[in-house]
Amino acid sequence: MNRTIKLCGFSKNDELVFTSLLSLLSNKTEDHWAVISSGNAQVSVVDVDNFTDDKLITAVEPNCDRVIAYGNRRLNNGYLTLAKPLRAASILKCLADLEVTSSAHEFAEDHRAVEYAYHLRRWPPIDVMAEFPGAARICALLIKQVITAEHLSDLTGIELDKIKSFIGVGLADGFLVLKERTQTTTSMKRDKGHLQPLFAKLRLKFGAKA
Amino acid sequence: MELKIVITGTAAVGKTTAIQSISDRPPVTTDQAATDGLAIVKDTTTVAFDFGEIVLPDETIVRVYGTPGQERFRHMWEIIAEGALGFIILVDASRDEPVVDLDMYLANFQKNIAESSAVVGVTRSEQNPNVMNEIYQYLENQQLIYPVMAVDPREKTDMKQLLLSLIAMLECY
Repeated sequence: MNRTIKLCGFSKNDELVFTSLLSLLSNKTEDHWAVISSGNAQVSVVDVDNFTDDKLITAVEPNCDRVIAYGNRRLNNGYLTLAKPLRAASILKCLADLEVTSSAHEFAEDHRAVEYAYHLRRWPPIDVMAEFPGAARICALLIKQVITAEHLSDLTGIELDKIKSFIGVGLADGFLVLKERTQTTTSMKRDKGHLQPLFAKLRLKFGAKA
Repeated sequence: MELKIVITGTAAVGKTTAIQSISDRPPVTTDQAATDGLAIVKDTTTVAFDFGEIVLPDETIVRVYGTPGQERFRHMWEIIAEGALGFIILVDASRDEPVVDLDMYLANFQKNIAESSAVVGVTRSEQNPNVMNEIYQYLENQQLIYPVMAVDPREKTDMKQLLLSLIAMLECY
């Protein structure tokens, strides 16, 4: 698929490097990306380090489908980020993440069963954990393995819709990533089987009903 | 068999406070007046151990032990850690090298953690914006998989989520 990308607030040097690298990577990306300098692009990459506020990024946002924040300044708005200095691998990863998070957006709108598998990159923050009863068990499985939503539901006994809702948040916030489906051997721990009733009671005690 | 969870970490990280947040009974503490450099940041320090109790509806008791933070009381750590269900390692992000602190506790309790599991709670994370990245990078380099969460030991909700995460890690391969 042909897709367009626009570089906003870039230095001349970074613009040249980005365009060159993207061109070199054309056979490694799923879509064909063309850098445009005028008009609206599907994706805008905004150099956030060249500005002390978020005016540029908020101005660009309504004119494209997705925004990538380029730089090392931390933003808390859930933008995809591309760190400096520019590297081919980081551009490739960013474009792949773009596909993944696009899937996440579609996922939120379309709850049909999807044969995707997931992996936890980082443990979610407290507020997310508190929002989803059973999140700890989902995360404990996902942090060690790549696993599908359906399998997670089977292993934890948590309803599939709740698992999918958690996955949607995880993909959007970046603590979960989409991975190729692999055979999983995850199971509940048998050598601590005698402690399962205790763990269940502790979960109930601390309010995780699942 | 005594059911116990161990909370460890550097002096003044918030171990005693964490136990107070989750204990169903008034915790037992062995605090004494701090007489060394620690007196600058806190009046007292734990010299043996703290412990609290989580009482389940069927009266089962899970004890929560806090180790003394200072390394000169290290001889107590092994005694406290023996047979623990799991470990909560609290890391103070405001210290000079929180990752080095974490490394020291993971190394010290390596054998016990290998037989159980651990979670990492990062306190005062607002004073060190990069601390979570640094800790995850360290764990990745060490090929270790533990939950890491920014927590305030005074908040019962935070400590509950740390405990739930530890229980989940214990339950799963």
